[in-house]
Amino acid sequence: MKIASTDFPDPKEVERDLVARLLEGDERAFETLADDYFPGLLRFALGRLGKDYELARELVQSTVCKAVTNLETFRGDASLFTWLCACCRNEIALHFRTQGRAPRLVELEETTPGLQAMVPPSGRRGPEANVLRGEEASLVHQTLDELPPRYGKALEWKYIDGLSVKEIAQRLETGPKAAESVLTRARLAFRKGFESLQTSSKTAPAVSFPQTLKKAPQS
Amino acid sequence: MREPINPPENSVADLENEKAVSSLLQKAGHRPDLPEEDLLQIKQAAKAEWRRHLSQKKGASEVHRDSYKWAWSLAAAAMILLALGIGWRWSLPSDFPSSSAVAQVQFVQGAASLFLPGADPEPRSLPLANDSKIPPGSILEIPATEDSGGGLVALKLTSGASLRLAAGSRLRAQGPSKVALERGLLYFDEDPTFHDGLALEVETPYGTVRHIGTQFEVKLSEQPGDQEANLRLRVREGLVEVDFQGTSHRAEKGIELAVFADGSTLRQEILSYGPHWQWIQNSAPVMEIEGTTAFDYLRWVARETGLELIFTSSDLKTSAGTTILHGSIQGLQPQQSLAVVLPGCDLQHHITDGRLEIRSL
Repeated sequence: MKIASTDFPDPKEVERDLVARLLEGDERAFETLADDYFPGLLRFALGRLGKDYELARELVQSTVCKAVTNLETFRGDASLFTWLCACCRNEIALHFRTQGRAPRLVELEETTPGLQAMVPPSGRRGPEANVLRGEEASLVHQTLDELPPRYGKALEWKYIDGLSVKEIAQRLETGPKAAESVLTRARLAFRKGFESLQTSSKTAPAVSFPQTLKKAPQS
Repeated sequence: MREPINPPENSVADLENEKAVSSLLQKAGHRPDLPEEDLLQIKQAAKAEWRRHLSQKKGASEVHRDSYKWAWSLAAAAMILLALGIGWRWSLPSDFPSSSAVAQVQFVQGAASLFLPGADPEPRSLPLANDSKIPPGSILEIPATEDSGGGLVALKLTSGASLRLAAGSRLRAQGPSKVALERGLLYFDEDPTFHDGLALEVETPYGTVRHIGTQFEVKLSEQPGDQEANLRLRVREGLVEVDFQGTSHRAEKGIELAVFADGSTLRQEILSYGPHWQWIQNSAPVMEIEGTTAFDYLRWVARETGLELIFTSSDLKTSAGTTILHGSIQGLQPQQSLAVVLPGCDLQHHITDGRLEIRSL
């Protein structure tokens, strides 16, 4: 498959632009920040705090409240989500330091029951979900959260919702070729992220990708 | 700078890679949903903090700029006085610096006056106009009229909330979160999405009304007839509290609370939509729809009309969120504008039992 050059911008550039607009007080930029990043950040906190949903919400709230007043310090070296996760990790550590106790370390595989407990049945997995429970689904979701928001959405639209490339292009407000390009990059980025999480997770499920593409191109 | 184009090494491997990704995603399904009210709470808190931070930054730069302006103004005033040799009488500027204004006029219909604060024993009155800024301590007055299309005023408070006044009202703007309704009819609307934590207090002779992120109406009757309350509170959304004679009374969405001069109260249910709220639509400032999403526009219509916004499918809701509007709805009331805006978005609406249902065209 040949990928034509598209007008789709570099995700890092998109994020730098988003931060610049936030610093200028652009309300729509704030909506994008909240819609695209806050849910993933809450899932991230839940992954570290197990079933303590109230605490996760409280710490995410204080994380984002601090983050929005420190946007000037975001340099754009890492992704915005990674930066927010780092802020959140600090907030969790600070919370436990002030409580005078160590954080309860929760391994990745423990996150799923915590999440499942609060997810309404209608929002849960599809019919095949029963086949693949636990850490693998959790790894997939974590990977999606760590991708640039448009990549994560495009993958969900394509492979879970079954939307056509044309429909995805409409949602991304771009042309079909650019949407194809996004999907290709998204798949590669997904694979890279998933493999990285698999490596760092002690009990990672054995999911392998075709070897010929083992070295995912850098994006 | 664009991302480098990374062609896959071969199409077979790419297909296999796609299959692997597809299979993983299908098995895992969507990322778990999170309770919307929790996300909204996080968002509101962050937004309030973000706005506070921005206004602090802006305030700091305005102070800096104002100090230059002040120096130039002094110099200019001194030159004029010297050259003309005339006295100079203090008068307030018509355009107040935004830092001192507690509200800005967004809509005026009919006659309405603004009495500026000051040492003058007979305060000057100015006609209210769109974009006028309201300094703290000033009084707004809209004459009573028999005409149903009489005076109406819509203000935007510094918190972003909307405050409407009907004919026959007199209001003292005490501060960004405090007003005193001396007579008449007031409506307050603060979208919880943009709630900045500042709760408005409305002082009246029959109690102080406080809200907790809401839409409500307060009506004062100077000489109430039989069965008519001195203060009537109608809550369209959220929770409102009235403190009168040392007793606190709470009213929630869908409740009309009547407070009488002797301290007694009467509660009854009321719809959040319908003809008795029509004056809110009549006084609604026009929404600038250019560049906003169809979803934001529909949320605005729903707030102004008191209708519950319902999309018949999640796809429609998503689509509304990504549809950018162009044009204007100048001269149209919120509900009227639906017929103009929605067909262009391939949408149609249906209103029934307090629901604004959005369907595919």
